[in-house]
Amino acid sequence: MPKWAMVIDLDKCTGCQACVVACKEENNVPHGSPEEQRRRRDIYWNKVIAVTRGRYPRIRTELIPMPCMQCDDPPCVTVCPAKATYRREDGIVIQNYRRCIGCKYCMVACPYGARSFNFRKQDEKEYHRPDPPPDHHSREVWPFPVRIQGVVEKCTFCFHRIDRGIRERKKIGVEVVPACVEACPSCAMAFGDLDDPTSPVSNAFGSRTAFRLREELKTNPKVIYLPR
Amino acid sequence: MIFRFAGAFGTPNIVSGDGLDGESEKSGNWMADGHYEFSAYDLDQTQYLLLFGADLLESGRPLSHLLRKWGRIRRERPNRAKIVMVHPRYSVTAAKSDEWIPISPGTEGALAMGMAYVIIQERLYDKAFIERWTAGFENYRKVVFQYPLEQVSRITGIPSDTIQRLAREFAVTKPAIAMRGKGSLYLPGGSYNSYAIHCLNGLVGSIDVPGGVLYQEKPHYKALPSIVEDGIAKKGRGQPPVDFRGTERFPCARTVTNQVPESILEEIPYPTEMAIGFNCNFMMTAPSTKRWEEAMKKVPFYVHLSPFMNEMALYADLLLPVTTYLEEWGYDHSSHGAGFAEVRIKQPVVKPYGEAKSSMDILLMLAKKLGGSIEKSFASLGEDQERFVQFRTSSLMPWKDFLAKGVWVGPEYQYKKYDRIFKTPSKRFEFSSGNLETLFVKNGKRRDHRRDDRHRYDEVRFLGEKESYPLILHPYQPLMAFEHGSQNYPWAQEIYLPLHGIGWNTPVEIHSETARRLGIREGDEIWVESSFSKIKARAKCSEGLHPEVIAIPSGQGHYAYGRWQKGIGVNPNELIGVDFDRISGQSSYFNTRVKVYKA
Amino acid sequence: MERSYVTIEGKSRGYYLLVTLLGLGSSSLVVSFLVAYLKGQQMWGVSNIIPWGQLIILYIYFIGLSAGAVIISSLGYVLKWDFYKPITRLAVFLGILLMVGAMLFVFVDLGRPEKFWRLFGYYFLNNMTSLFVINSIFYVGYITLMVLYLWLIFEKKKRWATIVGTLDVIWAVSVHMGTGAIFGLIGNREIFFSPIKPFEFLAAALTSGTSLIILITLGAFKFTGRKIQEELIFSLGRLLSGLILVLLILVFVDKLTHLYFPGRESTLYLFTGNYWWLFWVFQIGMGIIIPLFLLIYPQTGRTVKGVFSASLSVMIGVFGERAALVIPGTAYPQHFFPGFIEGMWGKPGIFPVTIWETLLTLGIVSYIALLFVLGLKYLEILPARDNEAIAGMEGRNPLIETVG
Repeated sequence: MPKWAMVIDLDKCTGCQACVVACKEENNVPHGSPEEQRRRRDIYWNKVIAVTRGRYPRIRTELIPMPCMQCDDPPCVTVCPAKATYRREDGIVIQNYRRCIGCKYCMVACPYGARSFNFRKQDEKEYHRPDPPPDHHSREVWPFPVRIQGVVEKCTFCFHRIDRGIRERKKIGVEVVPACVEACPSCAMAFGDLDDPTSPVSNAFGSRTAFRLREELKTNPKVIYLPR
Repeated sequence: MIFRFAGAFGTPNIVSGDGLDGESEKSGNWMADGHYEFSAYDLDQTQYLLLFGADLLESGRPLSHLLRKWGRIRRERPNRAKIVMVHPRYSVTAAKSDEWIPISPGTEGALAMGMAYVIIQERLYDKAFIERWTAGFENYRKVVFQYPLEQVSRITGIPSDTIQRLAREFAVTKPAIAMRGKGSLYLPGGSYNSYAIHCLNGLVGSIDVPGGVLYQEKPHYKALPSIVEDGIAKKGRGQPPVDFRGTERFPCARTVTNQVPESILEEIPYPTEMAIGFNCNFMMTAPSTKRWEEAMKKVPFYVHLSPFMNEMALYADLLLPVTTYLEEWGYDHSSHGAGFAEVRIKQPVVKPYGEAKSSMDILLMLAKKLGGSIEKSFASLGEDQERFVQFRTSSLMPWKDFLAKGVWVGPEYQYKKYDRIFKTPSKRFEFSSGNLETLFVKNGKRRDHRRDDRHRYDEVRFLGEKESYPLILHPYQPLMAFEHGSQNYPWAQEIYLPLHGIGWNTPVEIHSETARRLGIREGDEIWVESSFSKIKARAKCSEGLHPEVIAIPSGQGHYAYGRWQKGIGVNPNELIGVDFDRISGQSSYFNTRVKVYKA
Repeated sequence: MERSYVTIEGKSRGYYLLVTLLGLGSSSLVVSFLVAYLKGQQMWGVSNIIPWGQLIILYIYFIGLSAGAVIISSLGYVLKWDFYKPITRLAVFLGILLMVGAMLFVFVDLGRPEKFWRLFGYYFLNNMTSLFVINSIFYVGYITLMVLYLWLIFEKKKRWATIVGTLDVIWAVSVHMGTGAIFGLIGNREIFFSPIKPFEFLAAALTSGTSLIILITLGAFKFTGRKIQEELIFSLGRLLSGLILVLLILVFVDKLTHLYFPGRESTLYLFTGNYWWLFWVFQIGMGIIIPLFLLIYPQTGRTVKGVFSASLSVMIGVFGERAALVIPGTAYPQHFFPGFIEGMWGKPGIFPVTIWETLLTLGIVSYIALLFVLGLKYLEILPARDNEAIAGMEGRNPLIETVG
């Protein structure tokens, strides 16, 4: 069984946020309004945070893209009462909108702020993919083209692309990657199977400098960062 | 096509936005090697990038190329390139570079002199290249030796040992490139800054070598037949241009965009009766936006062509909708890419909306309607845009192949073409600009032989008195505002400034210490006032800024775009005064002084 | 001597007025719920950074009140302290209603309330590691036990009532500790994360439950013209002061632990951040310090007015304690990476009090109050009026004897 993980090389990353926008385009994530951003209700599946240390002139700001970490030991899965979020065998943490009751416990439990709630019904026009959802194979999860109000959503490592790629016998990580990885102009992101010793992901994981966010919480996130 | 139309019609007045956009880089290049154009760089193989205010990751051109190459030179080769950014502001580029050297605004030229001083004194320059392929080195050395380290350190605010270290690293790490950007170019002394920085490249032999500065090969399009001129056109073309380019005011300039409002308002050299604008928005992008508004009010008949409503379109008497790049035919090449020539064609993938036509089609129709010599000038180019593109690119590749592949790539880039690449009087890279000397002579300027003023660093002439306006304005262009078209995209607006985690707004960045001194706290509403205008916005205290600088991102403050930009942010270009780099006509953006106080 | 319990007449003007007012309040429940259901939770003050708002605060508050009330009521039957028997029925009835109220709060807070049944799937549909599920098991059993208990009391089956009552008390303890565990086991929110959260919750429940009993008893007896049994009130007041001391100790230990690494910054945020007043003014001030003073100081501790004021203060204070847990707990920005996180991702959250959420809250509170008031009329909850001579004198007051 493959174990999907992602590597983000912060040295190659240019802070352009193409990954943020590409994800929204691929997954029909709506944009927010100024009021929504003020009230922190806008939805981001992938976000870029800036962390600053030091004082002038020895200042240093890191720009860090943060998708869902797809933890191996996810706190959100532990606390979801309705089994609406669960970890698949291939390591992807799935969000099932049909089962989600919108209790928001997972949002409280996520250490990475990866989850967003749908505070209102989205206007038709804010979605840019009125076409039917991408092919899905399993009855378990239905990546709605339009999420209804009142459910929680988050990054899914574009599992619809991966599943379709596996069905079409394409090489995942080379020919088929999540939307953010594909969009990155400086090729700072890579995707692959942790169990495959030839993938860039396992290379990164074993690298001297690789780190993950909030490792002390022992959630075993599968997004690995290479520092500057 | 626009140039052709203007030529056939008989007006010399083609004003492009280039005058706001890096003309001084071109003039600096011209002074050194005779190429009045942007430099191309061989980023694939470079090992050291020294950026003088070059915001590669925010508003550099060509953007995707730079973003891709950044990733490549960092971690896709055995040797990681080192990147150093010299800039008054800790931008995204500075955050991703290895070192950020804060510098007093406008003093990049002095730094270049100081580094040259170290390199020459310690004999770290590329002797072979300088002996064989350059001229004027001795004069250059004399000028540079007037800038010892202590003086440069005092001017720029950078410690001497840092300058020394930078210079040594730059000279020893091969190949290295010194790149210029807005911060060093958009100033009254921009051309000289550009020249000084480019000479650093020459000093270490980074000219036309792998990993150095390149001379972009141009594609050879099918030649257009000559324009047919009638009497009116000839007379019209002979008139002095409205932007005073090539005249004594701006002896070397090819376009002086920001001169136009003054020319229109004061009717010099003659009153303007009609203007056509092609997708320009100088109301927002040019300094001193209020002058543009007054000028456009004065023009009796203004025609504006653009795909969407913008501020300049508000003043149009006739507004023609044009297509976007997805709806039209076109051809394009990088003016400064990776060295080798390439041409790409644009094919429409979407049907145009409503009545929109491409600019090319509109010009062709206009020419036909006007008849006479103008119609003849456009006669054999093809009846519509598709035929014209086909005509133009027919010298490169058969049209069928072009349609299939979309891109034509020229032969591989040849390095070290020193025998034929320099367009200077001495046919070499000139440290003492012969081109400039010729220009001075042509304009009757007397040369002061005691002081070689073909190289200079002058203290920046700021607009506004230091006592009343203690801080210096630094308006910058973040990535999401690049090309000033994205303000109506909520997806761009909500992630506008990643370095500050702010969207939908224009913060005024002020150094924390300076803010404390002025009694301003984070989030306070403050007025930023120059001697020309004032704007109100919220303060953001930052450590990533030179203490004397106020940085404001541009791109907001629109009032004509659509619902996602209404009431969002302010436009710092209002505050800037009108000033030029005289040689190139480049508008100056960074020499306005401001004062800041709580609202 | 057997006490008799009666219904109240419920025909006075004051009664009708009360019922009308509460009825109006309940209608606001329906209206605001519909508004929220149709327009989404954007009408409320919650956001992606503070996902739980007024409704969850009141949910845990009501569970606390319910558990506390029932445990106090146990003093009557389970511990066989006849002194407290007059209030047992009241307490259990209140307990049932408060639980129903808490369930209502959860129901309306869900993003998709029509799927609430998914919380009760146990083992088939649910993830048993989730405390929401464990709690739902507890809550269902708890309500069943309470209804059974009350019914047994009505039927005067004393022995059975005692057994069920004992079970009920133990269950009540588990219920509220389970509610505390919802928060206490969340490791990434340092203000929540603590193994003694369940105990803190229990202590808060006991204090607020006792105060509620005192207030309702005083209110019900006064408005129905029954003589206030002063000894009972003083005894409850003394009990209250003891419980507040326990709460104080638990809060102190929890905050002290958090002031050591790790998690110190979050506690400092709680103490000095934008919601400092929830902690200092409400939780500590009104919830602990003022009532302690009022109760210990004999001038006030031995007057009905004093105990009343102290109880009121505790009610507000414990409400503030719940709020001081839920709001700053999630408002404190998470530190994804060491350093100062710029912009909106690093700013503490702000929870505005919005009108629809407040109306919804008040609506549910009014509804429960309405049910209580109606229950007084149709069920035999309150002791009969002519028992006053006996009330307070019957049996020995264990508290007075042991505490003196």
